[in-house]
Amino acid sequence: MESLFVVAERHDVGEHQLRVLEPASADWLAVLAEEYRRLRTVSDHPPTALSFDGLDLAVQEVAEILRAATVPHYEPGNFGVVRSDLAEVILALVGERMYGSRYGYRSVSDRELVQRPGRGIDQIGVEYDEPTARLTLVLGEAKVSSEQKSPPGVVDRGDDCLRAQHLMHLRERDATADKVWAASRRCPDPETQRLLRIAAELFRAGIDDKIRIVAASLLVRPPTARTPRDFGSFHRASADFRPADIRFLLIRLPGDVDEVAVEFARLARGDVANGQVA
Amino acid sequence: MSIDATEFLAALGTPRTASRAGQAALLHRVTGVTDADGADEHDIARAAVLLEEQALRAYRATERDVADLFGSAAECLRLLSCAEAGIAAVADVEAPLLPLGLDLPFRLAVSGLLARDTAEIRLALGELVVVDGSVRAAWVEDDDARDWGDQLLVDVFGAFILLVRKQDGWADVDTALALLAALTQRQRQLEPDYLANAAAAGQARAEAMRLVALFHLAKAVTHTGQYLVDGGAGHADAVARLDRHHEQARAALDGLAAPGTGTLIRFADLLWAGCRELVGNSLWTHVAGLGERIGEFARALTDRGRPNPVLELWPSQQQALANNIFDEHRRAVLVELPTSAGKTLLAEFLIVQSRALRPGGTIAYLVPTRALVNQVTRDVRADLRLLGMTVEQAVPAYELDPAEQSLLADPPAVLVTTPEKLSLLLRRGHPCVADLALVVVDEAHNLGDEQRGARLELLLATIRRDKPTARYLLLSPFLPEAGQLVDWLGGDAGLPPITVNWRPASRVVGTVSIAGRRPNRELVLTTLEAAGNADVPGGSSTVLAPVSNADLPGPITIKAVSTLAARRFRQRGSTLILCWGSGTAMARAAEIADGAQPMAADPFRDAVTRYLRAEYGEDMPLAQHIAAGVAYHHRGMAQDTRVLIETLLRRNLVHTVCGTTTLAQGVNFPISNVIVETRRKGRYGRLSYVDLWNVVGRAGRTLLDDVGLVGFPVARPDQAAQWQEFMRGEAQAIASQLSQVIDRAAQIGDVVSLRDIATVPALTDLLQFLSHAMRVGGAERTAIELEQLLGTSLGFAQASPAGGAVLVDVCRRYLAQVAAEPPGERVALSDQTGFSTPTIDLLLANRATDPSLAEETSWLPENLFGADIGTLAARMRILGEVPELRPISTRAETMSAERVAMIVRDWVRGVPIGDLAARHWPEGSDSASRVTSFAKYLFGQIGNLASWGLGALQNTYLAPSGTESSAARYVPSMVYFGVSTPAAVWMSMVGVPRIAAPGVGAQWLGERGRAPNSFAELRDWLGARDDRDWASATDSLSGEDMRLIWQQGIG
Repeated sequence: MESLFVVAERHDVGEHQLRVLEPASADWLAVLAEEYRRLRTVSDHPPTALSFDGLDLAVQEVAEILRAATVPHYEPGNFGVVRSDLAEVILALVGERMYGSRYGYRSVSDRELVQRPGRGIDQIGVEYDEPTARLTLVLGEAKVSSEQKSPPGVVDRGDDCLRAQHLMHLRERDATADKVWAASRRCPDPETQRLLRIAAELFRAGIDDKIRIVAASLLVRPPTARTPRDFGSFHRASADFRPADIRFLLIRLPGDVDEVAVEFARLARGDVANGQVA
Repeated sequence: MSIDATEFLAALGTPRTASRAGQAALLHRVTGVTDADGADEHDIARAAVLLEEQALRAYRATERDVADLFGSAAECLRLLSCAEAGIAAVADVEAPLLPLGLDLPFRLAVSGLLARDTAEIRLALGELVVVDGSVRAAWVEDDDARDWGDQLLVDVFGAFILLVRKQDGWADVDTALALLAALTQRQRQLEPDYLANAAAAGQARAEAMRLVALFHLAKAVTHTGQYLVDGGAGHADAVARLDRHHEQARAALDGLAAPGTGTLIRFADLLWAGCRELVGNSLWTHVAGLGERIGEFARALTDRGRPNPVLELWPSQQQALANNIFDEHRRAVLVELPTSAGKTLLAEFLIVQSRALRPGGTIAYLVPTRALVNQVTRDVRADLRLLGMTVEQAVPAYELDPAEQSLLADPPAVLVTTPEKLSLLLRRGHPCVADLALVVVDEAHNLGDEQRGARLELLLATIRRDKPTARYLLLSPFLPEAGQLVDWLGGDAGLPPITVNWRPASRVVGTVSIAGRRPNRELVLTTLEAAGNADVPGGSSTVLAPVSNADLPGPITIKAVSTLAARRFRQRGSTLILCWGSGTAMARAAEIADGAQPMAADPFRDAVTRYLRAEYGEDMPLAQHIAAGVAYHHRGMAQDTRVLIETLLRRNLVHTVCGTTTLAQGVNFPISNVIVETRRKGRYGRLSYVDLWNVVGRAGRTLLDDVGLVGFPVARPDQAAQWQEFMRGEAQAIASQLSQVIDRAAQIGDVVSLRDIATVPALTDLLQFLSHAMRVGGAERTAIELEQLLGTSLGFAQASPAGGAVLVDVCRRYLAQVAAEPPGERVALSDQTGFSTPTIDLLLANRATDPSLAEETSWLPENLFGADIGTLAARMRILGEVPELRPISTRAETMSAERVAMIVRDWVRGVPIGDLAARHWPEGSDSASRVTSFAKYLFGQIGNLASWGLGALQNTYLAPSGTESSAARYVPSMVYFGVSTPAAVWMSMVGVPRIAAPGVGAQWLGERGRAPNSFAELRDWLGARDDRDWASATDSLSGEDMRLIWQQGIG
């Protein structure tokens, strides 16, 4: 599958990958928005399971409302849902297209509350390399930051930063393995489901010689992003993340982060008049 | 492409987790206590899912370890199914696709089925899935709230579970098919709205595809159910249909992005694999292509009128069939398979095939004991009568009375009997064995039995020679290194021995002991290492129950532990306690019955109680114990009584039976638990490995128990160590008992004497064998072909060249001894009576001194069993000298010929056993032990040996031209059955107890005025007797009691 992004810089440290990606084509945002729409409309509780008896509204209208309601509107600020979803969608797509990751589900499609960012691990994936029979568990976190400082605070500062989140996933193995199982439960593909479960149990049991752990980070930055400083401790102290290999991908946007997010939300909602997104 | 996760699972220790879970589940089923060895429910639930996924992968890849992997998954699921927390854990780990009450049972059904734990899983599903009037209501709490898609899901997977469970004959299969048939109606009602809603939600395609997949799965389950009913268009067609529907279901689901589709796909795969296995297990699959007659038999086995229709074959039976037991060119087939693994049905298949190949041929079905003759006759008759095949027993007396001679003249299709009786029939040239097509040897390990092995071996050797076209089927749980047996009987046409290890129930084996100090003592089960014979490894200890001071007021003894264990085991089903000696068995029964709750009244049990009092006396303890559900069972009881006890046990009307270790030979009743108190057997012997496992192997009733428990009560650690040491043994290869002759050849004189016969038991069988050869082929030819003749025996085949030479030498000396005198009459008499020629010489010598022996009138019952017992005493005195009848001693003052004669006379006159003991037996410690001691003598010696001896005397002294129908010729049978008229003998032969046999016999004569034409005629006539008829046949019991005893017990 053709990649939406190309590698613009490599700052790898041994097995650890620290790279800068840039959009590969002009329609990249439309493709992302379409993927986002698809994910947000796949639901475990389709409208058919609801009872419409006694209601005056036509079922179709209710279904349309439900569908529209599943795409949140853009809200300005660092914690805007669409901004973070933008990062998570990129994280998933890049993993899938560049690394062959398989997912139980996409976090953006399974959120209890539409207007709250997903809890837990942003994207859990599994990779299996047939020739070497190597199984890889990918624990992915995604952030967006237009902060001028380098590295931005979302990398190394605060309880919710990428570093803190990854170190917690690696430290609290039982909780992380449970999250991997939870991801597998919703998986539409039985083989991916199986790989996730095996990976979860190997990780839980600490059998690190049988599984490769990847701490995957995706950071969406404006064109002014500075590298390799933006990678923060992931570049300076990669060993802190043992036994995981680091996969840190910095997406350098062609324009302002908020503007891109607004456009992304608009395209995803499908309420544009020009019919770019059906 | 699915990955092979073997290495990952091994690293995770998942197989070990499963194994421990399986053991914990087994112990839970035995003790009610769950100890998962540190693993929590979620660990086990995750292991179950991983194993299930790996097993499914192996199944799709047709790999060899499928059964093991599914077995491991099933072990986890079994433990999880023991508690609500386990079921909830499965739901936590994997969002359940089905309602909780079905999700785990479905997965267990598939895993158990593919693991070949067919019987255990059926039983488990019976407990886990409760279905009454409304099937769906039992599974789904609020069915109306579930949409059409979910209802479809529940019905399809629920129907599959019912097809696996097969409870109540055809009931489950019928329910499953009805459930699936009703889907069409439900679809019309529910689907339009369902699809409209889905379309409105933009999910129309996804929901429609899901429905399509479920329709295909429904069709697959329907095909499976229909195949179970009639076999459809055959196995290949059924599998092709299942594969096609599965592919279509997968095609509909693959690529659907809806969450949870992965689980639905896996369930679809599991359902497909399960359906294929059900089709594979079906009876129809295994009888296809085996001919019309076998097909007819299969239809009879599946008949809806049968209480337990055979819808599938056990894995053990499938394995035997897959190993070509139907190959008609094979002369000898040997199947080694565990107790209760379905050997009787295998034998029946071969019987039907043999009859199809040789329509007039007779099948001889040999079993070691009279109890087994009764039971096997009943079982085989029930199955084969639907094909119009007659199944009769030759009464296992050593004699052939005129009635039996005549009733068997029209050869039955199957003749069930003991080796001794078949030997007699062959020697007499009876028409019922003129054309032997197949000889089934049940419990064939008895070839190595010290007492009777040589007789069985030489019987088979005789058949090999006299009936060269006969085929052989040897069945046993223990026949190691059996290739030699097959070579011996089949030569180049023997089928390599088939060894099957599948058992219908798991087994836990351990010591039972008391741990702790007063007042906190506990009864503890500690498993023993018993490779291949137990399913939990040694060293696991589980508390069975607390033991209060009141429970154990005295010291810790085997007896005390045994009694406590029996009380504890009672909760989980019937228990057999093996004790040393009848006295111990009776005492143990009294201890267990003491304080036990009386069981609810039951007409049959109450009838048995009254029967026992009538026969053994009012104070017979057994009659009291039975009311509390406890019985004993030993050789000091009439065969009828033992059969009644077995019937009570089989019908759950008693829960505990205390028997002696002699029961190891021939016990055949289903039990849940066995407690073995001792290895001592008889006066001097000890239970061998085979003896022990032959009886304890019966622990675990097919489709009634999923685990059998074997406990060895111990009072000290060294006793536990001794049992552990014993468990390490293994069954020995069958060794011919003719080795006795080789080993003791030096002791045998140049002229074989009565003393030689008395000291070397196998010698009499060998001489008998030679006599028969001489009578059939002539003395000269026998001498010339001696090596060839001996070559038909196993002993000769097993002997070293030197040993073989010794055997030949002993035989040559004997032939020379016989040749020195005119052999004619002696050899013929030896062959007819079963006595050796030296014994015949002894009998002939008596003829000169007592001319009355040759007078028919002197043998009439009124002259033998009247007030004057002189004649009978004289004849008993002769028998007292016969070495073959050594137990009948008439020399001692305490057991004079007169006293033996009086016992025989009173026995024949119908005096109750209790009264006989009071009249003729020295007083013992109490009246019960006196009766027991007497009954042991009566049934061990008088019934069998005196009957044989009197028959032999008649054969020796009476002219062959004597009136065959004369009452005199019934005397041996009268002594055997304890009745005094020919009509009573007829009734006894079809199971009427002696207290009613004379009365019922008189009724027969009154109505028909002739001897019966067939056993079937007798049985039909008896079956039509009403309570009034039975009442007028005896004063001892009511008509209803007597009818119940005959219909439900002995008859």
